[in-house]
Amino acid sequence: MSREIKLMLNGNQIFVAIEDNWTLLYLLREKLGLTGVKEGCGQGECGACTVIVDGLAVNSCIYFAVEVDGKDVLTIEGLAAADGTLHPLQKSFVENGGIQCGFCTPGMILSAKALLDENPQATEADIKQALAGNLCRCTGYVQIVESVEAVVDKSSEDINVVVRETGESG
Amino acid sequence: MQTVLYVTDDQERKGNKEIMEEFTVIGKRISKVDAVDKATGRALYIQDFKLPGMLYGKILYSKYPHARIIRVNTEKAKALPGVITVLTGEDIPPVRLGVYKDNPPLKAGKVRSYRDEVAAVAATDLETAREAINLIEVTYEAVPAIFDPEEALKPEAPLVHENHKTNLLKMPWNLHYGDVEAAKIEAAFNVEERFSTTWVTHCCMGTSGAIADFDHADNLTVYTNTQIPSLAQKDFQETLKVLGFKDKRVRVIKPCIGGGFGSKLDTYAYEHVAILLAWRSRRPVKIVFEREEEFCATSPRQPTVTYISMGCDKEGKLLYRDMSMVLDNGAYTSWGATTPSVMMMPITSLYRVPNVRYNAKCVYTNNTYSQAMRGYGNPQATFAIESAMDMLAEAAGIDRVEFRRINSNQPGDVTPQGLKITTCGLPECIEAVSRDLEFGRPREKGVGVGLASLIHVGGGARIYKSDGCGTIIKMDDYGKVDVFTGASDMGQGADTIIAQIVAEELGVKVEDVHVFHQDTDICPWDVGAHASRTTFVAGNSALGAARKIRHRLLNMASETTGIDEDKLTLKNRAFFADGKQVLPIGKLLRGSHFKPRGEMMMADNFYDPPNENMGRDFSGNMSATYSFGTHGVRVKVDEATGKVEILDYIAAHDVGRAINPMLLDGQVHGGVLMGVGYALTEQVILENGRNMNPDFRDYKILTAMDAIHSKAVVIETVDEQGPFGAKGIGEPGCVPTAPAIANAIYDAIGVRIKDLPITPEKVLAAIKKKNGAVSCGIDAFTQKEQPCE
Amino acid sequence: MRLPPFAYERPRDLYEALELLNTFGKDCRVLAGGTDLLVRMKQGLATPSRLISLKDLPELATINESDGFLNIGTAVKLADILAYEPIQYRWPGLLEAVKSVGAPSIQHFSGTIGGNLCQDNRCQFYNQSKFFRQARQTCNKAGGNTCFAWKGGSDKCHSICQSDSAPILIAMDARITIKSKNESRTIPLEELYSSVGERPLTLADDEMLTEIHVPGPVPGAGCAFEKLTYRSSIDYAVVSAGAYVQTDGSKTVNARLIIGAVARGPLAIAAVEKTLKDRTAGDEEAIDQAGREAMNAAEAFIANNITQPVEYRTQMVSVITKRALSRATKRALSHTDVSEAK
Repeated sequence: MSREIKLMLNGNQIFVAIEDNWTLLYLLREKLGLTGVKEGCGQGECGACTVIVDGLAVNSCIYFAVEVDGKDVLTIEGLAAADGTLHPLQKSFVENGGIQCGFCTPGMILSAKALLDENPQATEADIKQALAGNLCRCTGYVQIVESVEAVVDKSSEDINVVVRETGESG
Repeated sequence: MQTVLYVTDDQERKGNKEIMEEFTVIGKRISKVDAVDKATGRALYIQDFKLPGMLYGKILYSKYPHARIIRVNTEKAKALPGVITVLTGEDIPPVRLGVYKDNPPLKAGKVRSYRDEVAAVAATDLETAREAINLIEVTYEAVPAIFDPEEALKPEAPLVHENHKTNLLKMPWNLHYGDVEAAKIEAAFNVEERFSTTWVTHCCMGTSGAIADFDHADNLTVYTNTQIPSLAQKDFQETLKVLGFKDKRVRVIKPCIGGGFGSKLDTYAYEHVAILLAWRSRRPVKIVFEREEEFCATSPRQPTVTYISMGCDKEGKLLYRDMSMVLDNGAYTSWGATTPSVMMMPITSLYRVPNVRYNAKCVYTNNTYSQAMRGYGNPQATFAIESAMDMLAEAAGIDRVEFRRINSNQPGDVTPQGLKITTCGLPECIEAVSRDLEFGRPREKGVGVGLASLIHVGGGARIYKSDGCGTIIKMDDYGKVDVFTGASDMGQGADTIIAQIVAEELGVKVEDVHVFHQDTDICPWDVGAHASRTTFVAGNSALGAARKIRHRLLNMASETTGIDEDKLTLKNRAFFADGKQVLPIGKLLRGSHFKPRGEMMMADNFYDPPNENMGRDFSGNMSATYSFGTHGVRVKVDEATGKVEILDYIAAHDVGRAINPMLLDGQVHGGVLMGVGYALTEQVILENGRNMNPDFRDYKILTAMDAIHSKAVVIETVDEQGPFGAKGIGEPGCVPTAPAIANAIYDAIGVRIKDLPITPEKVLAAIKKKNGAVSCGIDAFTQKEQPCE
Repeated sequence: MRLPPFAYERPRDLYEALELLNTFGKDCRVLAGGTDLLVRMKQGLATPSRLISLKDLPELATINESDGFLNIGTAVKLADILAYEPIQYRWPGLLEAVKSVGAPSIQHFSGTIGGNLCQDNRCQFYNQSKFFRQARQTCNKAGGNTCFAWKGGSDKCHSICQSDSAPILIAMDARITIKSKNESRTIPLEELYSSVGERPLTLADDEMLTEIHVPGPVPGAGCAFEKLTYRSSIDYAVVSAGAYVQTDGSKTVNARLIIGAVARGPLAIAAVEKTLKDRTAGDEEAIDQAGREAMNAAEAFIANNITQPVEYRTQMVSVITKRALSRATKRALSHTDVSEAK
């Protein structure tokens, strides 16, 4: 069945007509053109499709589009500030070698963001735990974990910079 | 030779002024030039491309590992609304793929593996294509199949390719240098053992895919994930020829690649099927693999069975190494069949060994067909060699580290195969590992240490007739630089390294340099991203082009300023004399451009390294220089479950020069964890040719929680041939990992696992066997022996 | 990807949900986190014509304690259980189990406790794509009549229950509330499992698991969950065990052991209670014997349904049993007065 849903997407309220059988990944990538959301396995095993829904990192490939009705969705495209300033995590991944082929990067960064929003003082173990559902074949995770740690080390003030304040609008 | 040792610790690195101050960008931890695009989701992969009018292609694979195709009924599929084209093996001209040209993109008459492509569909959307595939009815008649390469060599074995007359590929890999038989008699200590490795696969996070698009004049553009744009162009050209298109252009555009690791060293059926569907439908056709296809229909690293014997004299000097191998080629032939050419390198040249013999047989089976993967055979060969090194050291009663010191390669060596070792940091690597891992440290129960070394091509590898790479550089009126390179970035950072090299040479900033690498219409030829050759070969190519420009710039600046060339320095976007800026580059460029008979600043360069193709006896200096390394590991074995835990890991590599230490660390850390997976958890489980674990649940690449904080030690030997002294490092990180771990397990609990991967069940079974099957080991919790019921 | 069409229902209260279940019965599926269901739908293993989402039912998403029970709504996310602080010192065995599910933290944000308990059985020959399955005969679980996991074939389905929370919750004597439009019943959790591979849950088509009731810790009792995997996340168990041990301070007075990932349902090892009862708590010989008993009991069930070999999994039942029992005993002995412990 088709229906219209309303959601906050990367800080903008949108109305979009969907079919019940669409996954959130399909809506974002194929219908809304947000190709920063990657499909790595389609079964919730690799985390490449990670987006943040109401503050929580979820696998958009096993999440129905209809279920984000009234919710706040953040994809990698909405993470940098409106003026293009990179989010501290994006900057840190760039500067600390957290990115090689880049296919896991959007999901990896968003999982890290969900963690740091919840726990700005996350330890190495917390970080590894939070990224355990995001597979990477290039880096051996070492520089990815270091990239997240580098943000933790700073004051937690500049971490919560983007989106989310209008999460209850729906 | 200058040898600098430093550890990848920022503090120590920053403190190491002597190498840092020579250069402005070389040796710096510079962010990858594509990193911001990737961090913001802007980078485009094949998945992200859409062309107007594009169709979606799907492939139907075989239901049998070996069968005759009796009938293919495509009527229902063709009748499905939205389906534009359906093709079977009968509908296409005889296109052939692969090293042996034994592989049609769609099979007619017979299938030889579950992976065989039987039919293909192009439809207006993916779901329709998927549905149409399910409507194709194929009638098969199964015939006996063969899955074990050693069995496949027996005369009664079913033939995979009848007209080939035998399952043995006609690629005789045989070499014998010195006199192995005489050395066997002479040797004081000998070991003899059988090792095996199994199928593992690249697991690129971005799956494979291609889009084929013909223009009205039948020129073809293929967007594809490839590590070999120039060779792919040639392959596609051949397909066009078979289709009857002569003298047509083929353009290969390479989007961002979500990981390579050797998986994209050849062109595959899906690319040619996309071309065929586009040819028939006259519309662009896109085929992107689902994850299951990526597991089942891409080519894994080839499995090996290795017999090795090795001996040394009383003092521990190696006298001979004698190895033979059987490789499972699978049903068709790609570069996997040629990996013995690289295996020869460690076999003849890892450590000094005067007498060497090697033969390898590649055998057709009804399994999926194999390809090279990071190391090109080297991990398989080194697993056997370095496991046997430990066994021989034990037999000779010599400490394992000392044994390797005694036999270490040294600068200036020429090995029996004719490899000319120029710079060689192997002794330093062995020392670094032995010092760091404290081999002599008092032993805890179930804990052990192990080490293993590697040699790899570090200066290209002359497998193809050319090992070259072209570069074109142009500078605009403001000093901005465009570099058109043949090299392929697949995430490893080739663009960044090339940008650094050019920026250093031209005295500009890295952000002034834009590297184009993704389009055969724009970029010069290159043999491909393999053999850890890109930094060395593409780097030298770019450096040569940049030097030409630098030379002209200096020349012009000298004319303009009246200052002697050798008094001018080029840095920070300007010319300096006596420490003072005398002329910005942009001003000079504009001056030479906007004048009567002005000129633009452009240069090109084709660099083909001074390495040699192998001769008939397989000897020859295949690489312009060689990379070395030693890995050390401390493991803890849970003797009740057989699980192996890695406590410490150190990877020491002779890289010539670290052009970008941050990217270098990334190659090492990534290689190591891939190597740990190879050693402990990863295997494509084939049950009579059928992939039983085509997903990330059961194909166990390691997760962030399994990550080990490997310590990367960099030995800089500054190779004369390398760009700024650099050698290749892409593959070495995963080469010695498995034997280092196997050696550590032996040290910990006294059992030697000779078959990869070293899964808990294998460790436990070995413990059981060692204990005469009266015990299943010690329960780590109760510390008691547990009986084996 | 798009899935085959189905109707999506989003009831506003539990009554409406149960009414829908009552009306549409076996053609619909309850959708909680979807981490199991969506994958099965993608593979064509579940083809519901209607999904009933629990997203708008806050009454199913609460955790509270009353009358000595920890009550967890079926739609409570695994992450919320982990974040519920008292679980850390009062129900550490449950914490261990929930923590080990799937890939933290991403799946814990979607996955629910009800979903974990009600997930369908798994088998390496069944949980594959349609294409993979088409190359073979239809197996028992898919409605055919053969089993590839059982040597020589079988007329029964030999899939396994891979719920990580079930073994520990059964060991802890958890109860569940099951509701339908006209009825509500509270039963021991173990009765949720039918031990029939084809249809592993005893829920009727119009019934829904709504709440889990976990008894509070008793002084002198402890529980523990052990899970053997090859990796540190993502993996399903090779073998898992939930153990509950109650002591009088020196002797074991009560013990329960449930093995997961080996049988068609969570496997209770009845002999263990007898073996440990009245023996010194933590007595190694007794625990060794319990391990052997668990292994002997499990052996008859272990089929070739996951990629690890049968022989190895059989041996591991003993090892994992002993580890779970030993840790539960240690906890029992150190938690003599749990109600005040923190």
